[in-house]
Amino acid sequence: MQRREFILGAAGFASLSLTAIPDVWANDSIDTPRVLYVLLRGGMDGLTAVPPIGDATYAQIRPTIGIRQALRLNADFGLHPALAALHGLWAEGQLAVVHSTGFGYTGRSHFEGQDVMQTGIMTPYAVNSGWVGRAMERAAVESGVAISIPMPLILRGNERATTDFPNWMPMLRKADTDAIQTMWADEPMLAPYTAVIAAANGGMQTRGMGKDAFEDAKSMRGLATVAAAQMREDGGPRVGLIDMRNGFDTHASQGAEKGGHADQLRHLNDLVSAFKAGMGERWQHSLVVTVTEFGRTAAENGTTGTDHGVGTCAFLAGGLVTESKVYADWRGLNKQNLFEERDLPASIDINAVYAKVIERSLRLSASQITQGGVLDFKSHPALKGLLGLS
Amino acid sequence: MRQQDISKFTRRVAFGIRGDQSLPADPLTWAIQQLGVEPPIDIIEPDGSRRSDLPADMKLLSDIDDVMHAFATHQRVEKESFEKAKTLGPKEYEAYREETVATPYWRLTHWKEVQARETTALFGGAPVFERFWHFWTNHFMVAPGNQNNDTLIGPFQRSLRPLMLGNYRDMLWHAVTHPAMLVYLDNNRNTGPRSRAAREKWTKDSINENLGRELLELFTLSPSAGYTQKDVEGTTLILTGWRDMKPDQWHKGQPLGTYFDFNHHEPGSQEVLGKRYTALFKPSSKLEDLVTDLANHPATARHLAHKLCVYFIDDTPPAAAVDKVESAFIGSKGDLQKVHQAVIEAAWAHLETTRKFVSPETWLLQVWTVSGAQPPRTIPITRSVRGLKTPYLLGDLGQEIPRCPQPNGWPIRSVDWISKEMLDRRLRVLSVLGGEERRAGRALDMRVNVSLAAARDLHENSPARSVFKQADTFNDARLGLIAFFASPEILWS
Repeated sequence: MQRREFILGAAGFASLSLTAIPDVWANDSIDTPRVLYVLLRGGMDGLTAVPPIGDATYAQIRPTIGIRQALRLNADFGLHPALAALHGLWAEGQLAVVHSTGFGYTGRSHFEGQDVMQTGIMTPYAVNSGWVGRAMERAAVESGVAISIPMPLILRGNERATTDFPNWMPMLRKADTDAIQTMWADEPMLAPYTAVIAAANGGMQTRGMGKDAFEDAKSMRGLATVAAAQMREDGGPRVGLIDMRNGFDTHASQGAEKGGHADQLRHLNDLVSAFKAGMGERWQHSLVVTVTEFGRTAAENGTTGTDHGVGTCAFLAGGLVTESKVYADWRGLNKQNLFEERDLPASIDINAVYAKVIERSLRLSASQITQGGVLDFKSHPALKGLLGLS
Repeated sequence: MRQQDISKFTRRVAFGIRGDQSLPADPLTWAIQQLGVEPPIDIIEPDGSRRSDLPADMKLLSDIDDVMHAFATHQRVEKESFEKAKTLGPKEYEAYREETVATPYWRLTHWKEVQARETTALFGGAPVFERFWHFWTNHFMVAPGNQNNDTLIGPFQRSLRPLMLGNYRDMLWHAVTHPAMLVYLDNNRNTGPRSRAAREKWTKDSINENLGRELLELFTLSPSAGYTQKDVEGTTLILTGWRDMKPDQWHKGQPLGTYFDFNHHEPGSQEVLGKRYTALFKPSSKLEDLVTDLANHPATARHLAHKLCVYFIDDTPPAAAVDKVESAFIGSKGDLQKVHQAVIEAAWAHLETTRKFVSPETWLLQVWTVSGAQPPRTIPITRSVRGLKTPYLLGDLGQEIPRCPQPNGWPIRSVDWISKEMLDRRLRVLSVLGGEERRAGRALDMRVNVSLAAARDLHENSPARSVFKQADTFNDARLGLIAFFASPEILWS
């Protein structure tokens, strides 16, 4: 309900036409897709998350950090044991993995890579909008929510997306929110927010959150719960975003079944299972999609870690997945098949994967996506059938 | 001129005036006289003295030798910790990283710089100067996140302060060739394809356009000037070989800081904006000439005038304001004191018809300044030290200085600072700050300051004034803080 008031209130200042609103609400039914994008900053190691257990070279180039106790997906690939909930989804036909994929950007800088993964443009710092934000704009989606304090670049380009993040500070009282309601009434850029702020406050949490409760709320499980609480509502945001910050950059001692990289995967696993639980029936029409700036070197380095690479894997989990499958154009881990003899290649353009997510969830055609300036991509035959699309 | 307008002006070009103090009788003179002297910067108390309860090593490094040694040490301990990974278990390794890397370099390094930045803004005596310094540190953004550059950031930003008394060309030269910038934008790896290092395969590095592109796009011309990719490439080649020099075993006796490495420099001449840059005797002079030309280019004057006016005056500044600052820039050949003065005069002239929704940092400094509340003192010596810490407080508000996500700096347009989450946090943080004052025994002072400021600054018939009339905002200090600092008059300076 609060979202509805917010959007109606926002009509005055955002560049949206009033006539667009009733259509969208009317259109939102239980089967209207919901997509939660998850930014995995730091560069997720695709060879740890989805170890190629069928590739004999894998154990040779990763003597210390290779995953020996993978959960089996098929004869060629396994799942890291920390991803047990995703393995459960695999069994239910709700997990798609795209492997040896990545952006066309090969500069291996976090800095540039995190710009590229959000803008979808292979030249760093070229634009100030994100590919998800542009897709929402093109599809005239009325609302999205970033579980974040500032609006992340990937959702920019759409003025209706909003932000929400757990806050340790004491809630406002009614007297406080009444005051802003009075004071901001004639301020077109502020007035739209008074109702949502009032709705977000006035709860029991008048004394502020304790350190532990705040840590809990900020955990991936906590953030996924916040996202689901909004997205499952009728008329709730159709697009959500969670930002996992920088934990994946494991240059040293990255561990195998346990360790630094495994911890991050466990957080991702918690996030997916909490989101699934929170979405209830809507899970059947939902998708969680991972986005990371690059993968890591194929071989482990001299400090039992991995350095910045190129190709990695991406997860698509949820009811919108039509078939559990690993989509890959696998060229093997022998040196001569690696990108610049060191990295898993991005043999599938990941933008083509995201274009399918947009096509399925926002009902934009491939040509609307490219010609509408949302995302450029190179399609790949291996992706045929992903999300039930040709 | 009404009191409310003078007060607005003091927030526009500084951080406002404490509630129990009178507004400047001659606001223009008050502001302009702060431009000509560079105030010292340190972690200071309200009386201006250096805070005395800091650990002995909590010094701000300024000498370039000290800075480059700190940078080298940080890189070394990062590398050593990776080596340790071979012998330590995951938990021990985490504890080791925490102690050797995270606490000293990711936490205390930034904490001391932020603490200095905010306490100097509040207690250093020249808030107008500080407001312009904040502009320049944002213009020449260097943020943590590349090549363990944490220790370089504060020293670089502070080194811009004396240059605010000079001309833009000198500041631009300093910023572009400072090791902090060369590292942040990867120019220390920018290697000419026909350089000796590339020809003899000493390195796999090649062209890196980061700094070349930003030099044209952010620091000087801006894309509206219509330069091309060819110009970016020419600029990048001229920048090849400019790198940082830190203490190492191969360059004994070499001055630390900036280093021009001819072996990585692209020989010959390059073209930018139709002009060829050639150096017969001194290859490094190509960059000197290019920087001079760019600093004096009319598009640079236009770009900087517009950006300054957006930052200080309005998201869509009046054309007359931009023209005035632009003429001051061109007429004085980029004399920054003259340029700053023009900004102040334009802000004054267009005060009533313009408004800015300021960044979280500027707003927080207004809260502290006007209410007399003080920034938290907690020194985060370990991860478990409890208490408010200024960088995290800024992070709660959406601007975790110095962690700016992109090289184009923090947003300068009002709209980027308005989101549900960011507004909610500005409101909630007021009760947190009020609680701090109460615990410090300064609650009464704060309430007096807010009441006096409300009587002085809020418009006669404004909704905010009505909240003050209807509720007991003196005894309900939290409501008083919200009604004043979240009033449209104050949010929109």
